[in-house]
Amino acid sequence: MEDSEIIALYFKRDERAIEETRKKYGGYCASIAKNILGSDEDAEECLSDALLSAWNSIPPNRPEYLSSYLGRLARNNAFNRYKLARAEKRGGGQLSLLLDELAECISCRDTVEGAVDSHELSRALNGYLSGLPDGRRKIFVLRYWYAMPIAEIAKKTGKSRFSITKALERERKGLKKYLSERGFEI
Amino acid sequence: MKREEFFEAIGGLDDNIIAAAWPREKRGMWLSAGIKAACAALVIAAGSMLAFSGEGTAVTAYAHDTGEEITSVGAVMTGGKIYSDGSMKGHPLMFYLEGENIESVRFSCKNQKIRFTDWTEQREEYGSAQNFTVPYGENEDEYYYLTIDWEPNISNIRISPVNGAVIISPLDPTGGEDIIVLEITFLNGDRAVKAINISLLEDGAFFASMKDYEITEADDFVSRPDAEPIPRDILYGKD
Repeated sequence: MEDSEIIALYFKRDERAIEETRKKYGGYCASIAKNILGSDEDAEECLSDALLSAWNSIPPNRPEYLSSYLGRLARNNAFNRYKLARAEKRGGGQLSLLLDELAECISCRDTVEGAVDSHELSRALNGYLSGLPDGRRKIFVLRYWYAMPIAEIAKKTGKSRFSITKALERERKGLKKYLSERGFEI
Repeated sequence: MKREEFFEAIGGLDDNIIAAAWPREKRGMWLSAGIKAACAALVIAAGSMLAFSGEGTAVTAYAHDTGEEITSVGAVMTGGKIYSDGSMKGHPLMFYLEGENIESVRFSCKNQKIRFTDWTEQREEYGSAQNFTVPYGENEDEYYYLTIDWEPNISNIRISPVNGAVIISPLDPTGGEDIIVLEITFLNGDRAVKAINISLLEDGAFFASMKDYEITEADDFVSRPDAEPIPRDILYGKD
């Protein structure tokens, strides 16, 4: 079913919207959640929560990219679960690893004076990524938005794990410099 | 900012960027033969226009660590330097090229050695060498991952204390000055020659610039034969 037809079901409050969304994007959303949480069971719970969030938010929202909209719901939901569970357990998904990687881009200081507006930062990130060639942008997004394991990125892009690791290292350096030049003290 | 907050900020990427990154199954099996032929004709026509237009033959070099362009004016390289104890840390000059429609680049280093690394692991590599040719190809996204690392031999460097400071200088000219010639061939058959000049500064840093260049008879280092490629399992061991 086309995305426009699925969205139309949401607007009609037809519960087939949930079924069609699960059929088309269930695997996609679950894989994002599993990348972050590491467990099939947690990923399935996240998927259910994401579908409920979609039902509650469409309408009034009418997403232009339904996949990204749903993916974001799954990502946010999984990340919230990760934060709640962090005190009790570590490991499992990719998130701990990639958070360690992202730490290279920031100072880890957390002061009131140094507070950064998250929306402004997102805008800057969009600016940085928009300026990258497709291949480089794709690798960055797969790792840090989709939380995809490096081995899986390597498989999907046809490159070696070593080259993906080095490419991400270079992108993090480039991003840090880009943000610093634009006055982001992070 | 905490790294979790940074991860959340990454969540705010534009939808089209997110959607475009997700790997898709290959489509197109349903295209009719007529449509495929039309697409092929368009590609050939576009390629011919590029070949005759002479566009897309500019090449620039960027320092690997900082992303700064190596210009004709030149700048101090900050990726590495020689210290007052005689040690060298970092990579004084590691760079990559950006451009369009580059078929290949032949690198020739006069005095020191250079190391080519292909982070995509698709091209042959040569270890530390002085002359070699790198195929670039149509995929300009890959150019960023093709790095050249200039590896100076610092054994002929002199460290001299002068008035409380330390002056770093070469024992002979080959230690303080070098040139890397780039013979560039483009996909349309055009050719260009550029050279990166490198010089050692008194504080141990290196200054580099890149300009158009004309090879003369005096440049016998350019005539040296290309190095033989070295298999990756010998260069890096098993992955």
